[in-house]
Amino acid sequence: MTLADLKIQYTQQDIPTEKLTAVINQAIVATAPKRKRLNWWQSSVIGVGAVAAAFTLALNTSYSFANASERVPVVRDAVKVLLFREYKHVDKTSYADIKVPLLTNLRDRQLSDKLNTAYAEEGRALYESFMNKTNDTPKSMTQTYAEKVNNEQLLVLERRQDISSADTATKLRYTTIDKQNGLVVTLPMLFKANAYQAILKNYVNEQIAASKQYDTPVAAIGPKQTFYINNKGELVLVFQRGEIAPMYVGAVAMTIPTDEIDSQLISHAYVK
Amino acid sequence: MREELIATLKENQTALYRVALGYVHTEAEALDIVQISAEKALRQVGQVKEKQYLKTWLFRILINTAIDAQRKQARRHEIGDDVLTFMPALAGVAPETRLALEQAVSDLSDKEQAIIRLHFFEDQTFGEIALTLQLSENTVKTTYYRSLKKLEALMDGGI
Repeated sequence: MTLADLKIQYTQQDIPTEKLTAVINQAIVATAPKRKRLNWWQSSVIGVGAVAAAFTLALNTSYSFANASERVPVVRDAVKVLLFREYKHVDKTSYADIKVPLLTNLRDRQLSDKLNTAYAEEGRALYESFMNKTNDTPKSMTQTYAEKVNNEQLLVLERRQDISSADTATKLRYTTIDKQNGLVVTLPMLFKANAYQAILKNYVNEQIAASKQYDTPVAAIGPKQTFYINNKGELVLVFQRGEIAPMYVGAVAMTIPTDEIDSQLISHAYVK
Repeated sequence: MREELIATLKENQTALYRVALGYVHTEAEALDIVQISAEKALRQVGQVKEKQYLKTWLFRILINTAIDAQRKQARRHEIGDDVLTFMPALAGVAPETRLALEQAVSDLSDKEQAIIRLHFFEDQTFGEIALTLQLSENTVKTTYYRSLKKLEALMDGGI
């Protein structure tokens, strides 16, 4: 047997063509770029939107004053904040108007359910504390909410509580939601290590020292500091009324230039 | 580039399979090698900048995958790397011929073997093989004729 014979043997081997085509097709399928599953999602948006609308309307039909536009979901806005429930109470000496937001169409149902439950409980607790009159019960109490930012990536929900007894107080709270990943953005999540707390504190105190309006330096910036991320992708720290400035100034929102904290950021996914 | 790679895969599937089978004992193992190589290539296709290199790059991945598979098999069966077989699945080879062939091939390095497989058996050009194995064309040529002489001496002369 010569090498030439060997070659003939080689070229005459049976080729399992069908299996061969199958394994190559398998490889092609296994490595196919993931298609965006827009179709089922778009269609489910319509379904969820319709259910949410019916639900919300049913809960709110007794309140004729509610702004109708707040209740009608716009289907093309994937995530929308609806009015879930409004607690209203008016008598001779007191006034309450507590609006409870309802997040709809968030891709992650678990997250939206969790947040909605928390908002609902908070609203009910506020109302109950108001109705359960004691000497400390304020004269008036309102809670409103707004979509501060609602873009491709983020939804920032602002809740504002105005309480007046002898004095008035305003409390602002923000929930920054990553719509794509279905999670609530927290301040520590943005940074590599705790060093950001000192950096933010120093920056804030510099601004306070430089400004005539602000008068009280902050002692520390903690992980629970109120904040949100604005449409430009900048970090905004919010200080409650009276926290760093005299009461008459109101709440202060301080935008932190990204350069100041760039070295501490884990990524530029949220803060750009 | 992915589309072009898929076309190249389909065009060369028989050659890919035959080369893979040259390293292992069974059809199933050879098919595995083809599939793994195809997946590797499809995942990494971004690395290839020019279409003309797709084929040689694909064969390079195939040969490396095949050699890996061959080594793993040798380890499983606790035999040394030096007794790796050359085209064990080739049927109709007389036992004496096989012995002579194995002996001849055991003297050849992975690259020398690959050159024989690709040029003598698959009729690829020296230019293509040079790209596949990342050698110069002249090295491929001289190595080929040297290796072939060795094989011929043992095969045609001995038996």
